[in-house]
Amino acid sequence: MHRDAPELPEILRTVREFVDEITDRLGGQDRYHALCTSYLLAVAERELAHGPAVDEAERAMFSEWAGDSSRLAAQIRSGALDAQWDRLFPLLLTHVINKVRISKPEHLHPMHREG
Amino acid sequence: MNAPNALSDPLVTIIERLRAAVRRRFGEAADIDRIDVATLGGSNRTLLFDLVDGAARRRLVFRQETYTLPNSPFIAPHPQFKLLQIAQRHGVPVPDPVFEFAPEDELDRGYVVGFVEGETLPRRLLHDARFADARKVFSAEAAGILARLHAADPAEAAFLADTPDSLDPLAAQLARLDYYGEAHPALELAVRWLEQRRPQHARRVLLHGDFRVGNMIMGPEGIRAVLDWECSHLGDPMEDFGWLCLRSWRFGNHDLAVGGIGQRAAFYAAYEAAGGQPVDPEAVRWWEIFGFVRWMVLNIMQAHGHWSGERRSPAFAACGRNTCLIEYDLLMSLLGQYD
Repeated sequence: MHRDAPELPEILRTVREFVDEITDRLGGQDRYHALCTSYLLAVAERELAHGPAVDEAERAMFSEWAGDSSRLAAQIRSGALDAQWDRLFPLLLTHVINKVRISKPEHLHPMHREG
Repeated sequence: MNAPNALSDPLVTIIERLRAAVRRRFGEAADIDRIDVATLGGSNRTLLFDLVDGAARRRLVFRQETYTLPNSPFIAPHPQFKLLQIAQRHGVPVPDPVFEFAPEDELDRGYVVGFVEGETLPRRLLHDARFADARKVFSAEAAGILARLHAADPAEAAFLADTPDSLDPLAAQLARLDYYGEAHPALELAVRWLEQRRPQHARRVLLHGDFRVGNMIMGPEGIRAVLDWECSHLGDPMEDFGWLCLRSWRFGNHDLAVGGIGQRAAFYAAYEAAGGQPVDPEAVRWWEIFGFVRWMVLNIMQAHGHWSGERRSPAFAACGRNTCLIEYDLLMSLLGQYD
């Protein structure tokens, strides 16, 4: 069903822009929490834009490994996958890079930045 | 900071009890004033006040635990207060431990320490011209502090011997992670790396446990006081090194491994020159990898406190989404891309 404008990404952006606008007028803990709120809204905007494609790619990438991240984590901890380290490490690095691209893309080393 | 006239009612009660506690120890003529609220935080309450005794006036800090997390990695106020006394005896600069609350004070768990003027914000300490001299002496001072602390007889802090972090710090992290119930396959890879390379024959000393820029008060001349003893435990002295050198505490000054201020070689040499045992760089690396795991678990803890409703805050929510930044630095360090 069609919804009226603004769409969800635009709503998030609107709220974030407002929080950014008032941040400088705040002090102490309120200011800090406003900065955190703006950060969280930017994360939500990036997740909305890129999350589905990342999920799709990761499903394919991890299809041969345990099925979900809890089971994979448990198998790694048990030592059962110790011999697979060289194959698992690049996959998990990609997975973590995907998470950082949503949380804070500028945190990545230039070798892992897009564009 | 809020003015006293904006204080809420529970705070009025606390201030009256604090005044009574002060009079119990310093006599009926003693009083308190110039009260400022520093934090009314989710886990502790901090007030600054003057102890007025005749013509004498002394700035003090009131710290009260207001909430204990289940499975908390932090030790209680009573052992914290004892640690301040031990550290002070060994020449480690700390806020002067003045008194602990007793049952008749009706102030629950906490203590009063001397106020130390200075700066704690890493951004200013790493970049402001005002702290240029403090940065020059930082490695030597930090090394001297750790050498003195690590030389203390661990029997003085025997009350820490059975805490999870003293018994097995890696197992302690995993127990907490499992309690928060979040799966991190990449973190688990690092745990396997750690399990297969545990440092052998490490000495067992008294550790600060959270020794980094941000947890010390500095002036333009150098370190004035080491704060935040709630992660203290007994263990390998290299653990304090790994934590201080953790990339997360360099605040963008990645080439300056020692707290974003100093170089490893000078720091290690200064520790040995101050009487510390020889530094094992491989063990420091092990404790840095461990440090990333621990810092991830602390962030997962904050996020858990938020989403479980125990103590909601945008800052704790942000911690959850910051966890992957630490996880990334961890993997890049394992790869040898970061040191």
